[in-house]
Amino acid sequence: MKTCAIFVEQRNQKLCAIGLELISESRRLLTDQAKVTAIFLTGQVEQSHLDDMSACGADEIIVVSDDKLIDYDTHYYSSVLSSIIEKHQFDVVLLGSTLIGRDLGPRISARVHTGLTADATILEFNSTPEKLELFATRPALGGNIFATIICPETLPQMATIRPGVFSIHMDCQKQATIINEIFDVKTPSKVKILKKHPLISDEKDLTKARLIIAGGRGVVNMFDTLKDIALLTGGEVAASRAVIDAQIEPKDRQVGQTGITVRPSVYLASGISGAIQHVSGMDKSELIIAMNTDPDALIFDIADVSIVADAKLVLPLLKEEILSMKHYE
Amino acid sequence: MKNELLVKMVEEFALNVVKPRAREIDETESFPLDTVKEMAKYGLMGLPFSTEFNGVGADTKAYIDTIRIISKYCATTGTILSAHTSLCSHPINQYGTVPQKEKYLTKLNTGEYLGAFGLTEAGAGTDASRQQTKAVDCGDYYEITGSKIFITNAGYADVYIIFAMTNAELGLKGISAFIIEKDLKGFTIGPKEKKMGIRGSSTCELIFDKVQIPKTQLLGKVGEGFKIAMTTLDGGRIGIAAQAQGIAESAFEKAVSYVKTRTQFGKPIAAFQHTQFVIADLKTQIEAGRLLLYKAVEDKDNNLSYTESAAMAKLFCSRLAVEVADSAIQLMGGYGYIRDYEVERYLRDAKITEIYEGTSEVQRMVIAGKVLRS
Amino acid sequence: MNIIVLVKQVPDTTEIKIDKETNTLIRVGIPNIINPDDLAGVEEALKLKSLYGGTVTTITMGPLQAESMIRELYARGIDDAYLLSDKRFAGSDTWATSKILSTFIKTLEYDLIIAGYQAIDGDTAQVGPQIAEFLNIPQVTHLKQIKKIEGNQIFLDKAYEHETQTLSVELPLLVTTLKAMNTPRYMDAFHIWTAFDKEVKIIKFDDLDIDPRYIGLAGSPTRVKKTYTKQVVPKSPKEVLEPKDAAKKIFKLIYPYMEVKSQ
Repeated sequence: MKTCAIFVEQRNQKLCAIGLELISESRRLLTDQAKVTAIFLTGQVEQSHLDDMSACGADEIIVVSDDKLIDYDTHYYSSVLSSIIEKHQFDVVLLGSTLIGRDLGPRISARVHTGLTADATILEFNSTPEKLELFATRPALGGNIFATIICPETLPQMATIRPGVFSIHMDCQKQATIINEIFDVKTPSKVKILKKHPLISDEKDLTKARLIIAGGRGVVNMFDTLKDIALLTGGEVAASRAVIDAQIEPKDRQVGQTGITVRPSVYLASGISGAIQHVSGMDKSELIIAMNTDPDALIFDIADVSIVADAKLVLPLLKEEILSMKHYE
Repeated sequence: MKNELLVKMVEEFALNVVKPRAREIDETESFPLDTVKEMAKYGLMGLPFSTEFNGVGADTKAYIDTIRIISKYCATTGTILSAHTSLCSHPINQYGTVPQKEKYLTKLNTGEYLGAFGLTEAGAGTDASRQQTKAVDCGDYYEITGSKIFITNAGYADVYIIFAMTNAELGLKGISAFIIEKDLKGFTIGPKEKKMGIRGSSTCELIFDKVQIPKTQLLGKVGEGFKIAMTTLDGGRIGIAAQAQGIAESAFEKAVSYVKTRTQFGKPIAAFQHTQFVIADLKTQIEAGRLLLYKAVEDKDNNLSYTESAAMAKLFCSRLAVEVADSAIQLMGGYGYIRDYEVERYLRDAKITEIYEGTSEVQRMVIAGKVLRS
Repeated sequence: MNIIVLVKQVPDTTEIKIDKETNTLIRVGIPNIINPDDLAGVEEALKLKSLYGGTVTTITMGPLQAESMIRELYARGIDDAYLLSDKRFAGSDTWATSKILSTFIKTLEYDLIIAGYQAIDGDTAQVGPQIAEFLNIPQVTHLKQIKKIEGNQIFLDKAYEHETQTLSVELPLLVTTLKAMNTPRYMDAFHIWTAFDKEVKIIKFDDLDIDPRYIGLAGSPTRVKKTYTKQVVPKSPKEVLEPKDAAKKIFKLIYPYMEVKSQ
């Protein structure tokens, strides 16, 4: 039977959402036209992991567990995965476009001599009696164009998929078949992990931030909430001049003519009027979301998404939405 | 190709290193030692001198492009660099002995030493010949007594080119040039002047109280000092013209950017014909300044006489800088007057270019002299 | 220490705009730059050279116009440069590109190969690891810092989403570097003035011992089926929303851009 295999990633023995997203999405697209196989490399297998993968729709789960697989290592993982691929001859192999996926995927594609599409955001399958074709669409040129990539001559067709694009659906009742494979990599890895340090968020440069949570006069007393939202989302706080003058935020957070110019992917402007002095510092942001109680506020002239609402009431609710998100890595 | 690559580098350097510090330098009147260190690191302190003495071996154009671009963002930094290169390194390069070049030029070019030039005295400004500072021949050393005022880079320089009277009876031909190191016994620096513009630049009095310097510190020949001073200032003028040109260009850019975004009466003020006419006139004048500047540069790089073209460039570009800065403020209205917007500083910085290294009156004397003497 | 740095010339994709009328890319006037992650790699190489001595050699695969970029690398102090350029290489996907580059690299001596993590035009982040595989050397991608080299061991910090790991690896090694790792030096006047006197060695297909079936379009396992420009999201009209609905709407919009840290 045609098979779509998914490399299910774990970090520090915790299952990552991306593996479950990919199992869910392949199951959804393939229905019963192909087998969905999860591949799981880990130190110690936990039943809950296998249950989650089954619930998302995996028909089978190939498990390899060994101490040497507790932490990701290019040599061990690529050796194990490539021999599994060689043994099982999958039609498609998908990985998350995570740091592990983007380290492992290309190494495999070179070893196995096949095509790999990077960081796809749209997946399509075409199933015929002869073959299962993968169409993976991905952004390029800095996200300005999209390209649909195929791998017509070699197998498996590989792709890394961007996390967070597909949803997890755990509604499958059937238990997946578990296949235990033995770890038998003879050569040692030349990489030694000496120490692990949890991530401390470094002081980020406002001009490098992808997501900016900005506030103006309308939310001058709510900057604690803005800062919380920034912390929870990995974004950065910015302010209009009124907030700096009120000594709520330091000058290096000021966006505008006499402050900094920023070009983030998203600029959330709360309680900012939109006068040119501020706008000229952020109007090149990719997506501008503006919230203001005044429907005639100038900010709405340049915003992509315009919401007439009281930011003072919305922001605490937005913070709640973020906190209540179900949590995988 | 080399020149283009250098311009590319200097523009990046100026935007990232020079520009962010400019406002603070002006507000706090602080000498940008950090910037000088960075300029040294990137080879900007010895551009037009031979690699034989640790210079880059580049041409005048490379050096002048650098002064102009740096001055666009910080006139103080432009002043420091041009005084160092044109007024100190240049005369040593031109008139120094090989041992003097090996001792001083090598370090000036790498930026390990900063240079300065001391000609002006309380009683000798435009009338530079009226030197009171004396250099007495004491056998195997000279003894220097006197004072200089308005000396750029004073207090930070390691090496000063100082002019003094070796023989008062010979008038102009009695002036000699000397290389004087800092911290010599009897050599003190006065307090910093508080200036209208280029406020980070260090401008002080130099006091020489029986300072003893070995005979080897004589630069050029005895009595050659005035000629060394005048030819040095010729070259220095191109640097000042470049500084002025940079200020003019920068002020213009700020004004253009402003008039395109500022809307009044329902449209950007750039839509009004009066604004357009002002912009057109400024642009034409700035282009004229650029051509005069680079003509002087070309003359120097082609080993032609550049006294006249340098004087014309400085005369024109310095006036240009003052006028463009003034117009830019006017176009920006209230915002032009606010220090945050920086264009008011351009006017304060620009004014000095009509005064130092020879006032505009001196430039006129030089130009008229050339015309009428032939 | 012989260090090879892989450097690509790319269009500055951050400057590319989409024509809202025709929904096509406006590529006119987009400057070509040194790929930022690669430039960070050059900076790391030059730092290592000043600490441990040795040479820094850059290798670029691209059209002949990439020479202008290589001059800028000489202007920063690299020692040697190769440009792999041949019409027959055109159309290569990452697999074929990596095959070509690794075939050439095999003819050189090296202790460390540095590649940028990702190119801002292709955005694949694949060439580094594929080259490491073809050369049969270990790889460490997505570096945070190179700490030191002792004998034939290199100590580095690798950044993961959830943690940083300090690793020690036996040389030779391939690493991939990130723009965020360092602030690259500017070109300096001394090197700029001699940059055009240096040689850029051009390597063509005939100079390589490579199977022609592995290059160009024919050698590429992946094919582009179609491309299209990103749909420009039209500005949506003003909406008056209840706070709860506004919060939900905003959350949905910012979700793809969030970097949620584990708790």
